[in-house]
Amino acid sequence: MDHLLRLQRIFRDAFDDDALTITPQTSHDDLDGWDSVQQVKLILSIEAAYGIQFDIEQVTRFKTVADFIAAIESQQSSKA
Amino acid sequence: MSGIDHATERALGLLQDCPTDRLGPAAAEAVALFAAGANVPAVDALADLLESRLGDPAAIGRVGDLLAEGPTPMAKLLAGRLLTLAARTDDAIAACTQALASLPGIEPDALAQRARLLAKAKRFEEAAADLQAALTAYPPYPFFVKSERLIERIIASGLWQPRRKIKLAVLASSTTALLAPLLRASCFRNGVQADVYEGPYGAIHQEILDPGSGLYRFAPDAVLILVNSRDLALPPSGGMQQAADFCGQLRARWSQLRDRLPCHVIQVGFDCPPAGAWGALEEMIPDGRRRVLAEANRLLLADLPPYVSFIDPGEVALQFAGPFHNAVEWHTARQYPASAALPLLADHVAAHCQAVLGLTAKVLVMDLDNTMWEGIIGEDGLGGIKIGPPSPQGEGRLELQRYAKELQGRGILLAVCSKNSLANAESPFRSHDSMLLKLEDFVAFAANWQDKASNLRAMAEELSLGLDSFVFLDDSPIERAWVRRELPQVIVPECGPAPWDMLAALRRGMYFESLALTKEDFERHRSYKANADRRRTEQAAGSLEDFLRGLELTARHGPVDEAALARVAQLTNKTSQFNLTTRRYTEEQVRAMAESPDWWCRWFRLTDKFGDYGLIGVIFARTGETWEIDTWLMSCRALGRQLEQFMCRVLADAARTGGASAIRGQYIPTARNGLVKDHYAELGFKSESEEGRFLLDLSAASIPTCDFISTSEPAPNRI
Repeated sequence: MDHLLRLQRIFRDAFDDDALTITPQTSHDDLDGWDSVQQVKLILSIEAAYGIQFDIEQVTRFKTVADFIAAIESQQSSKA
Repeated sequence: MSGIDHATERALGLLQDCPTDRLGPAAAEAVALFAAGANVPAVDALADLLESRLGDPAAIGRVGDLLAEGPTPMAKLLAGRLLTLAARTDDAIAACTQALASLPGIEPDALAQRARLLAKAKRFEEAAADLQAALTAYPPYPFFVKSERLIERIIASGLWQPRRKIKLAVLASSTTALLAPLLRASCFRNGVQADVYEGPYGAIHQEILDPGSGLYRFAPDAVLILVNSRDLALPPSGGMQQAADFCGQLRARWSQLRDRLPCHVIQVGFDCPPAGAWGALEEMIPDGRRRVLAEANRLLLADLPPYVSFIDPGEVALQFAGPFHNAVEWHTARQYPASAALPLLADHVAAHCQAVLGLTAKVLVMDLDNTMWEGIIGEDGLGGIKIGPPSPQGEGRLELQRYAKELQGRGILLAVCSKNSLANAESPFRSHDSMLLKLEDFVAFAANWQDKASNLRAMAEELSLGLDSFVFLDDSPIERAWVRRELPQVIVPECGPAPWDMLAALRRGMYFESLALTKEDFERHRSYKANADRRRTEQAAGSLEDFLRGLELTARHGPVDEAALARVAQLTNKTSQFNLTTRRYTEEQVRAMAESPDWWCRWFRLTDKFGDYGLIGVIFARTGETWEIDTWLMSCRALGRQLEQFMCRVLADAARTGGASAIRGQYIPTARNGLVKDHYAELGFKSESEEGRFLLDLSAASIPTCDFISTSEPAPNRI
């Protein structure tokens, strides 16, 4: 299914904002409160929702929503 | 939780391939693929897809309306999501409410969904109730990520009424950013508003040693100190001295902290890390690493000061039953323990906070059939129900009884609430050889066909205890749901039907966590039991006077000293009815007053021919030309004995001796202390111009005498 929609749900809850809309280009700079702690929480939530584990190298490079999506896809294809 | 299941894939497929104008019926068809329960991730996925395909809020709303008519909770939950997107908050709340009403048990995600809507409608109190209920199901860590900001918004609204507040500081050698919101959430679930201060990373010693630190500016009620085994940097063998030095320093910090600040300390001990390179040897050789870690915890626990409580991470890890350490989280974020274990650690801390505030539960009320024993006494008979071996369930029930009996041993009261005839309900206690608990173990025994909420209410009244101190254990989800609905203040653990499920729920809830044992704790059961006997005498006596004389009351009193401190602080926190000002004090605050020359702090005890009521009265007064009564309270057990007149006389004598000319009392009304609104007037105090203030002129007043209470000499300071 569409990763962007699913991430949007996770972001909406985590940022406590029902109307939040994200695009692949959405980055740290666009969202209030997307700091390093929030980053850890987002990663943990996404890992739990998808049942995957990102590798450390990937995680440290995450800057935009597109980075998350790319990492999810690479995790899923390596699992398949 | 993880991944998208097969039904969801199919449902999403239905919507993906459907023309836009047919999306409504397709959505109804899609939710019909799910069973009757709730699958919130699927609801989210469907809502997200519908949102992106429909786009227009009005169209989304129309599909929502169609689904709201649907027969299953899933349809209604999805309707709730869509109506939310259509900005129709009230309709969305209605749909969620219908869904929740037809779901058995507790669905944290569905409750959180409604809570978010209620918060949007500024109905913060109801939102708080939903989230508190969601948290009693102990959802996993990701639930907190998605709800912690909402919880904080509810607390910040000021519209949620906590039972109590606590200022909690966290000092740790690991990061606290993930832990802090969880501490707030766990306390919130327990009805406690926690303001949390996070000390700088790795600065436990600096924060305590520097009098100008943020810690002291925050002035916490409790300080959590979180260390971990890495702090000791132990070699595989030979690290004993290193560990001893570290523990000695930590203990020195406790007392330095206490010298500057009257606060409680919650110390987390050292964890047992994953096996080291030396394997079993680290346990077997005398100064092996694991042995040293165990020894380090013993060093912390030796002669533990009364203001320190201890959390054993080994115990938390055992209960958590997942990997307690996560190397990736440690190396990337200095996160200890694993984030997945954090909710449980936070619950342990919250249980200690609750105990610091005196909010520990007091009564365990148990159902009988399939709770106290396996089987139904009315159908299976004495020979058919199972208690003890050889039946595994029977053994489990016996273990549950033993747990209850051990709770009773430290002052938790036991009661029964069962839908049964009294004769049937009592028969196993009287005649079944394997029963551990006996009829005399219960301070209340309700076996009848009335609804359980009414029985619990009557029980609370009879015992003079608040319903918020009751824990109700029942195997039936219907009874649990009923009691939760009728009496939201009663704690109703969610549990499976097996005895070990129930035991696990009691352990997990930590409702009875206590930080100290007082003499009253050991005697509480006897004392409440004696009260039941007194009530029978009261019914037999002709007049009140006859009754009081017949009791042969004797009172004693003494200054609040170290021995009485724990009990006195406990009373200031527990007493709500006969409490003129309802000021809550920690042990540390009571000690400060009791040691000050400007205060007169006195305890009172009462005995009668049936037994000892224990330490049941407290007065704190600020001395001076006019003594100001800060606190005057009496435990409910001692009401109606005219002890207040006795206390007044003791107070007046002390004030006169101290050179005072008058005593001023104050009544601060609360929801629960209407009982004492005329207290001062009845004792001869004159009402002052300022509302709620009363003055007793010592030169003029005649203090009422108390005919029924004889006094033994002011007691040596023993409780």
